[in-house]
Amino acid sequence: MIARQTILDKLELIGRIFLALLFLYAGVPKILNPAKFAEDIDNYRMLPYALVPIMAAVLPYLEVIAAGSLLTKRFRNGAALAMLAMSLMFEIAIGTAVFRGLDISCGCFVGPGEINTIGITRLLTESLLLGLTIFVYYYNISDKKRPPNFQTASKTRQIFPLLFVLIFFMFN
Amino acid sequence: MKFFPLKAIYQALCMLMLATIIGIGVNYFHPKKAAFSLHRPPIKTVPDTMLAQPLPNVSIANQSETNLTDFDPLTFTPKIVDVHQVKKLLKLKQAILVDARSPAKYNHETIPDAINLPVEELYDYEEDIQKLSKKEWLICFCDDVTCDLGEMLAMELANHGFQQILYYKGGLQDWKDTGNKTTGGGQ
Repeated sequence: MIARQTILDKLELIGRIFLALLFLYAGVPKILNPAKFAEDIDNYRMLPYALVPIMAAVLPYLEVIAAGSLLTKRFRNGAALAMLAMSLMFEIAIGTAVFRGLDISCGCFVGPGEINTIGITRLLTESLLLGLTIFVYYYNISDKKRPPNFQTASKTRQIFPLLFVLIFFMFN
Repeated sequence: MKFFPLKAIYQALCMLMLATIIGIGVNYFHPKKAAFSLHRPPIKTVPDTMLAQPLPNVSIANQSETNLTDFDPLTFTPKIVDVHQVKKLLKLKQAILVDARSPAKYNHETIPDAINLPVEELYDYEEDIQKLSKKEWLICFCDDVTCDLGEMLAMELANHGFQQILYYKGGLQDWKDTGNKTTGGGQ
């Protein structure tokens, strides 16, 4: 049981560092070019235009702050919740855009000349990311009082975070 | 165990508040700021006088002939044209229309005389890119104003060394809305 718990702890740590780096990687280029990010958000045609620049100005900083806070002990739970909310939002936005057949840049990683269109592959990648954030968040809020079924998780379930990371890189 | 403990919600809201203050504050002074506006700004097109200027002397094969002194593909932003400018350039035979969408969409409907360079499969079209004219404007387009493929193609062509690139942001939808005929690709 203790050995399993140690493995889970390590996997959670790997998942948390991966998420922090990923959100940092996604946030910093958007901070450098908010105008381009605003254009990407607007192309989804999901928000009234008045909210688009606010979203473009705030979201990258939230990504970076959450990424930094996820690596601290004190603010970990809040950061994981913020990331969970953002991942869910990205999933819904990309899902509806795929459903509407839009040929747009996903705006996930803003870079010069980067081909980053949305599609089923991007939707699956975001689903994996959402799965990983749920795991990290759930693991951290249940840190002191874990449900019994979580502690006796099978070995297959224990390798989920690693699989998420692996498949994420494969799709990218 | 609560799935949303109050402490986590409180921390997340604090982060959101902090991000809002920093984000809006920094954006105000940012050189590439997202401009606050209640309504979507109109598309800014290039002045007609710019299109009348002679094309830059470009040769991909021989870099010594290439005038790249003030051209950086990494910071390149395609110049946007409207339907009237597109039609004018086509009439003067000074431009080639390049459809950035998938071959399926291109075959279904496109602007007459447009060629297809699907941006998502561009690595299969290297030979076609090399055959593109360096003496005419390349006008990239896709579905409509929300579509990004045309702009991505323009960026890719800039990375291939082309300088004379224009972006028809209105795309096929704007072409149809202004009463112009369309055709199936390759016809």
